[in-house]
Amino acid sequence: MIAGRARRVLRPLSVVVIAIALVLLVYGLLGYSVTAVVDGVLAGSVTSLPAAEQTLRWTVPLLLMGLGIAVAFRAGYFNVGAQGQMYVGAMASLVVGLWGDGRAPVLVVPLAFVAAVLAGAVWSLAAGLLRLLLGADEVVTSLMLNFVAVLLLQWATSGPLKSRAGTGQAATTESIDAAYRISSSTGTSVSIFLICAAVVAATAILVDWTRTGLEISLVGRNPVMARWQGVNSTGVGLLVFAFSGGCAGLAGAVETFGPAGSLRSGFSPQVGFMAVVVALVGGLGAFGVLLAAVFFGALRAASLYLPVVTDLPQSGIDLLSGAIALLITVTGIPVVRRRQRRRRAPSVDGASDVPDRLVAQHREVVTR
Amino acid sequence: MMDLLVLCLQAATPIWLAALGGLIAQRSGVLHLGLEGLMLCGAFTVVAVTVRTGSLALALLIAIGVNLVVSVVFWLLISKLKANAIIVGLAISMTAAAATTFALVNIFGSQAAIHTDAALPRPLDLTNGPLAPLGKITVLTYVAVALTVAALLILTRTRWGLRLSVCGVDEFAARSAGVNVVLTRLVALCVAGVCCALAGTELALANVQSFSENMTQGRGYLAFIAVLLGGVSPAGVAAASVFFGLADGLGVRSQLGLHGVVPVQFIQMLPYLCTIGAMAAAAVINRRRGVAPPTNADDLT
Repeated sequence: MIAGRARRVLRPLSVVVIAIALVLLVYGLLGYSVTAVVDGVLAGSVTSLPAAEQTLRWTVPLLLMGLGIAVAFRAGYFNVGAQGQMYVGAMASLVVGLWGDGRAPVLVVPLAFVAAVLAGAVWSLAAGLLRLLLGADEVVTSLMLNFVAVLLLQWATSGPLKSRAGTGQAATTESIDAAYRISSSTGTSVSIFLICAAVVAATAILVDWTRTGLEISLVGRNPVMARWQGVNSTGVGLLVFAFSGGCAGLAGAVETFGPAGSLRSGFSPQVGFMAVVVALVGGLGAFGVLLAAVFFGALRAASLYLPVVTDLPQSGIDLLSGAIALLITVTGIPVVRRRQRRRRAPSVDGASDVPDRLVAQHREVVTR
Repeated sequence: MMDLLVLCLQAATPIWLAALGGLIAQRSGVLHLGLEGLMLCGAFTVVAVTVRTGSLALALLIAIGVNLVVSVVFWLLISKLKANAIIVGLAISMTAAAATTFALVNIFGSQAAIHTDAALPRPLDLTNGPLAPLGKITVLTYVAVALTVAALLILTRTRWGLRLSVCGVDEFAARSAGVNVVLTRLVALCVAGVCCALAGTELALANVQSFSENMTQGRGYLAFIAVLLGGVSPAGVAAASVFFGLADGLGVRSQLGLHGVVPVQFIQMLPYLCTIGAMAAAAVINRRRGVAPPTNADDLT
């Protein structure tokens, strides 16, 4: 049991360490001062209050989307459409925010957030329904819906929602009323942290403490067995698609009503895929995702700060995120795997990865 | 009319070439989402080498070499280290965007676009007459046509093509029949890498003759989509690529002509919406035929 849990922590940790070592080696070979880069990263992400604030500002969208993706991945549904779901949610919340126009914030803001969550969930369910009812590959459809959402945002920011105050060139929308904003442009505030804490807690409870959470894992591990156990796998599938889409929509609303205040065409372009990496590095668990989101939030903050203090361009830090993404799904070096296979001969590839905790819980269900 | 046709062909060619690579990869059973990154690597290498040496042939050779290395890394990660092909593919696209920008700054000192004088040969030299616009088409468009025919012949008329396709359809059956699935995939991914080098070359040298940061702008993903929309067959892939070129060309046209009637973004959405429709239709047909729907993603935790 301890071994299984240790492996779940150690694997992502070693991937991160290896990736950092590789990238630092590249910097060193290219003649950058490695110590200056490390100092710059720390100064840009944690060692001062504004830096830490920047880290948290970039942690929030990664965390919210990462949690949703983690739940979908647990059920075995490869929802890679978080980017589009976030855009749709952001647009829905902005429309409500602009409609508000002086009405009481206590009415408009919750309404905007509900609209964002619903919009994200619907966008995600489009891929989910095609998968669950027709069997169309959700990787492809959710990816397609990302591109559609990008174009939709492009259209909205240059057409119907375009700011009349702007210079005419920039594709930016009208800003929402300052009274509706839940944070200043720093993107950190008590209400944002409360939202994040609530979603982390909800995900942790859903995944680890409820029957539905167990069913989600069962469907992911072995859909056939799940059906034999009487799990409504279509229902579980729709739930995880709606949940992950809702989380991404929420992230969009937080961005709109928090740091941004208005929408810009193609904002935060990489965050959807980075959230997938966050979910994987976090081992698809709520607290793991929280830690991973802080780590990647810090990297993002550092990558914006670093070009100011060193000669390393921003893309240098993006290399590190890329290296982690390349390595994170590696499930074992061949030598180790061969030894394992000899030890437990009858096990099928991958089956040995079932966490002991899950097996125990599963037995409980069987005897019940 | 001829102008529009040439415009569409020019827009279609990079997507077409990359899609042929994606087709071979997908036939071997690998969903290749790294096409975008490979195209970007190819475009950068070609422009960087021609700027430094002035030799187009050498540039093309080095670009192919770089893409082969990236493709072998992709293969190592997904087949030897059992990483998830979709995540690694997306990661390659992301890393390539970062790496080419990083290299741009490191070699040329700034993030600004780099220009080159090298131009691709244009076989038809028609200065006037009704067919004059055809003279703008580069040699790589003809290469795309030739490669499509070659792919068709290889996939339908050769033993290797059959083996390749079996790897994608039923890996277990392929292994039982004595096909080395892992090695076949290596070859397929290398072919995809070479195709993407050509695609990047066409993208960088056909019209703009320069490399700028992230210049593929999703064309690699369009190529991936063209493979699916084209039903994973050479003729279908060619048709889908030309259709995307058409959507692109019409998008440019509608910006000029149909001012404001249909927003250009909605025309650009067509390829994606068509693909979703096609995927749904294919799933329904497969279900009728009794083919099992795709299995859930595994090996993630």
